[in-house]
Amino acid sequence: MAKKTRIKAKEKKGITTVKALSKHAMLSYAEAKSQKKEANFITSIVATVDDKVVYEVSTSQFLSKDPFMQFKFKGANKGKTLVFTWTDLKGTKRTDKAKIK
Amino acid sequence: MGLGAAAVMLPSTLSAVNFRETNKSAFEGPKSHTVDDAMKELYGTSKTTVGKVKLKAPDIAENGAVVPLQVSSDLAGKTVAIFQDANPESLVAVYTVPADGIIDYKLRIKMAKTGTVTAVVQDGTTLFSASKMVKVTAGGCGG
Amino acid sequence: MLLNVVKSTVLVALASCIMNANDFNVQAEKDRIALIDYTIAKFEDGDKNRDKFFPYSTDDELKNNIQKNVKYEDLRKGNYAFNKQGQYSYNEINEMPPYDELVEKGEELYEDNKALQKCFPDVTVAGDYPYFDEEKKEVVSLTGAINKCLTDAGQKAWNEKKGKMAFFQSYIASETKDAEKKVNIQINSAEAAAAYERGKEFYYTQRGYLKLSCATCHVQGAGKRVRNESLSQLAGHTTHFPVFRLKWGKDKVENGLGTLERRMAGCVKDQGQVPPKTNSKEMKELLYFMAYMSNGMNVDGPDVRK
Repeated sequence: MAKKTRIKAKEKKGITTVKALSKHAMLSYAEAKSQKKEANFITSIVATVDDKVVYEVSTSQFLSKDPFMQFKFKGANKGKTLVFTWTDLKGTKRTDKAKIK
Repeated sequence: MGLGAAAVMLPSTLSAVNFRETNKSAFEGPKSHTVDDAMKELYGTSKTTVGKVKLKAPDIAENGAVVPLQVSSDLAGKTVAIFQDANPESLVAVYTVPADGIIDYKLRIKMAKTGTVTAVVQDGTTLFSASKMVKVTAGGCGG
Repeated sequence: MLLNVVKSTVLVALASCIMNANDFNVQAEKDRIALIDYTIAKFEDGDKNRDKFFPYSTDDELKNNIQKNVKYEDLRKGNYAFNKQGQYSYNEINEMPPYDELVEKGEELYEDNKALQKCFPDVTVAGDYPYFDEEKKEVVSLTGAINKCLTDAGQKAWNEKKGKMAFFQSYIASETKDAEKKVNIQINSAEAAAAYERGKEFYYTQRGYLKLSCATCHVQGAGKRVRNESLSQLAGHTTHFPVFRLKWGKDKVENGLGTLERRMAGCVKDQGQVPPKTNSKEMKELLYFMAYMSNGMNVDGPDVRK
């Protein structure tokens, strides 16, 4: 049961800045081995506005636990909804939405 | 497999480019350990021009599990990749810069020990880079 | 530069005069103002005043790492007030700190618990603890007050160092911070003044096989290093609790938040001593003294530290 991502999205002078804190153990292979658990970490993140991709990144096991990310994009987006989705190694997906203020 | 082909096919709809699938060997496997090898797996070359990319990172991390980084550039880059040489595999993240995207990313990474973080921006056929050494200590008084 | 020290002293003195207009806190006020003056003077220009304050620090440290002209308002940040190397991490992590979800848990604990709502109708009270209970003639800590509230209502007391206690205290601190309230510890009787004096004595007493007092590191030692650790100053120490320590929260975020008692116990252990029990007279009076030293500063909890 994936926990929600905290998202803060603000547009100022045509540039939207998004801060997101996802909840994920981000267990690297080495950590998983020493904790006798299965490795699992976010492997890809995509954010869209009006179905248009505004952010995408392929990630490794070396992002911090509960990874924080910030990104920016251009356009008049105030009032629109940002859709933020992460996928992890096991294929679990988590989508959260936030209004761009 | 080089980065060129994947970047040209960049869609602006939901199916995003997933470098873990297209360039798996850069993330895991025998060629993923050193920064040099991982770069070759990702781009086909490890030759970069230093400059036009700004990488901000602490000189000494307060805690190796949470090292804040910021990569920014005014280049019209297609991809941005982050490498470090303190962990068993060196590739940390690869961003695809979308249309209307701005190269100004922040993230927090974990580093097992002192190492150098390198950010690479692909602009056309040139790779621009910036590096910074981050010291990691085990510490903090008090239980 | 001396004029600035005098100016800040006058401002601080005036602010405190308005707050505590009685005789019992005269000595405490003298102590507090002396501490603030010393701290501000120390971090005015570490390089220039190295003979006086930093006789053993390296050139590199004094020229490049210790910030000049640290302001009174910044002392609440602990060593991030002057330690340039740590400031980048501190500022970046504070953009979206890991404890936000724990403050929300604290809020839920409050909303689901009628007893807590009755004991703490106003949650913006972080700056008022610890206080001296004139009827019982003893210091009451926030941790003690919360547990007394729970047990009086027939509920189980919480662990005093982390978990629910820390979550709830972080909610109190966060609300107090939003209300922009300041630390406001009162000394209104001879007994209260005596409790303060005992706390002060504990702070300045050398103990353990290393013969260290709290003051050795955090008054005289503030700004100096113990191995790689940059020692933080007493002035402003208690303002940012409960504290989220990256090292505590490394495996489980819930363990990251800790109360004052958790931190002080760890510190005393480092001195090579058995720490006073969490709800003991010794611990509470120590916290009473320490909190008084931060009187007038903005409540700044919770906050992130290493």
